Amino acid sequence: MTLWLRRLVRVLVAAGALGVALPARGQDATPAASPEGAGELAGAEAWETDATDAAKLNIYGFSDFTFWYPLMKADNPWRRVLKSQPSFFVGNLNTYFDSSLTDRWRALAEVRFLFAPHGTTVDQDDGTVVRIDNTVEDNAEFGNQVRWGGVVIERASVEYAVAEWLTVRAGLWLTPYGIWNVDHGAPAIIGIRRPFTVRQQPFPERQSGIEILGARDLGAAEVGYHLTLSNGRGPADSSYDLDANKALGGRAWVRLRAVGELIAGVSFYRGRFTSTRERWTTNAAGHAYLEREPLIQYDEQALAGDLRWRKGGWHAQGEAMWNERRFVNPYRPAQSAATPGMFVPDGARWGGYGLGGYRLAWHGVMPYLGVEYFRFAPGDLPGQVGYLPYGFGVTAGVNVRPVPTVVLKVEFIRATFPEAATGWGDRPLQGASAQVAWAF
Amino acid sequence: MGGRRPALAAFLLLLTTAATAAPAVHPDPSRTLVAVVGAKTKVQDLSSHGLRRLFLGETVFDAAGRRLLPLNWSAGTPERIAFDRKLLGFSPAESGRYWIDRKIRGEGQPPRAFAGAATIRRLVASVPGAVAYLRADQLDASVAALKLDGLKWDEVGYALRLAAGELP
Repeated sequence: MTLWLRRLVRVLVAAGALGVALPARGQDATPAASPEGAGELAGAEAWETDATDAAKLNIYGFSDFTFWYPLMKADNPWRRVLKSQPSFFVGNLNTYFDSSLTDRWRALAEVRFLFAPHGTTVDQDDGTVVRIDNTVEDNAEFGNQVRWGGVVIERASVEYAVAEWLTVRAGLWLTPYGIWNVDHGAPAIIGIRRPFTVRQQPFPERQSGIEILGARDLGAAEVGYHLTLSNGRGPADSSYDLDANKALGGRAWVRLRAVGELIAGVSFYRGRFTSTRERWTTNAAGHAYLEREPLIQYDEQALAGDLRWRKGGWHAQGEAMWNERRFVNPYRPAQSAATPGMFVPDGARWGGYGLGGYRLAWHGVMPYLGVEYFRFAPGDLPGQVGYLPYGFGVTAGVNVRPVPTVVLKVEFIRATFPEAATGWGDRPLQGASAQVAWAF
Repeated sequence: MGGRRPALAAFLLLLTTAATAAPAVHPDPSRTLVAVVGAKTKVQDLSSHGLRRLFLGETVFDAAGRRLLPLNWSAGTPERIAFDRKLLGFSPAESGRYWIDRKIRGEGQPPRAFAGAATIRRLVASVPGAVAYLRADQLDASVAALKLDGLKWDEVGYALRLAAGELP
């Protein structure tokens, strides 16, 4: 054999050995054991249909059950405005109806079922307090009685995803400000109760109108926005705008992943509140018409900032809010029936809270600590409370989430009001709560 | 005669270089996750950020304007645990909490999840826009591997390549 032929044979042998050593890409290796059974395949067939054809409705929700124990003496006036005795109660029962109508259209409704108005109280002008009793005869069972409650439509909207950076939402939606108002459900929030600042609703809790939103991933950061146009705030704002002034709002946020996950946002709102006095009357030509004039009217604007950071088990969040209200004269309300001729002044309410905790791997236990400061605007509190400009609050608790769908919480709250009127200011508001919240 | 010897030597040198470099180009298929779409789909490339956003429930469209549909492995499967940890930074408990909290905020449903490679391959192949992930040794002709950030799954730097111990 010639020399070059011997060398060629050596090369071919070497190449053949190399081919055996390299793994064959795309070739099925011995299939890993897979647990596909009849149920798995049925689920797959259902998803094939849902993903390619029909709109699919998902129903889910959350609820919570709480025990409140006041840690205040019997003569503490705060005990009289809260649940004065240790009490069990179901707080929230919310159900979602979520439908992907197509791959771009989606509809979402959230409904909260209430025991209220049964059991709630109404202050009368003469100072008496009336407790509402909705007990009625059960027309389906003779001799039986039922207590009927109500329903809150938290949101009902439809949205269309135009692009990754633009979704248009129409209907009733939760105002996209801060953290707490959007998280809003007991299993998702760390603590038990709403921060005082959020409770004062510096922004409307929900609005009826149009919202556009979107986000963009820039690699190191993700940025997003919300812009809203709505009826604003009013006595029946989900269905009626009693003035020609539409409210504007929005939020801009950024998410950074360099050190854990950090989300920072700023929000704004501007609108007009109008309530009206209405009566049927006749004009000079004798034709009946509905005469409507403002009863209370004010312009308001609000700003808020929020921050949330998570890394490993660490969790920290905080929000600061400010709302300014300017009444339109002469539609300024009186301070109270007891003080005729004195009217609610313009003013601002503002405050914030901070909360931090660490979630252990052991049963998802998370001790947390929260602080808050809140300043009321004139007219925010019932006249019986008197002068109460601001307050401090401290919350300490444990949030245990042994499985993702169940959360157990124990919390202590103490709030003080240094400059409040005698009787209120020299008494702290404090108590303990235990809660179980679940998602279904 | 004098020209053949250098050419043959160069050829042998090239072959030797390829042989010694092979382990870095071809990772262990049983320890590499690969983002996949149906074999007939036109989507060939996706950024790792886009894949992350998709499996976090965000809206992601392909270049043709079709919405991509994520398809997950069931919770507790080794592939799901590894994927969540590698791409999303979630432990199994964190993943569960993330999806519950997201539903309560009204931000949508988690991706449908299945426990077997055969089911996932079938769905990816049949549902337009479906995106899933498989181990490299689970690929077949019905699915196509997506490039991530322009890299093929067997190239260094592929976003879903797992280190030792990352696949339970």
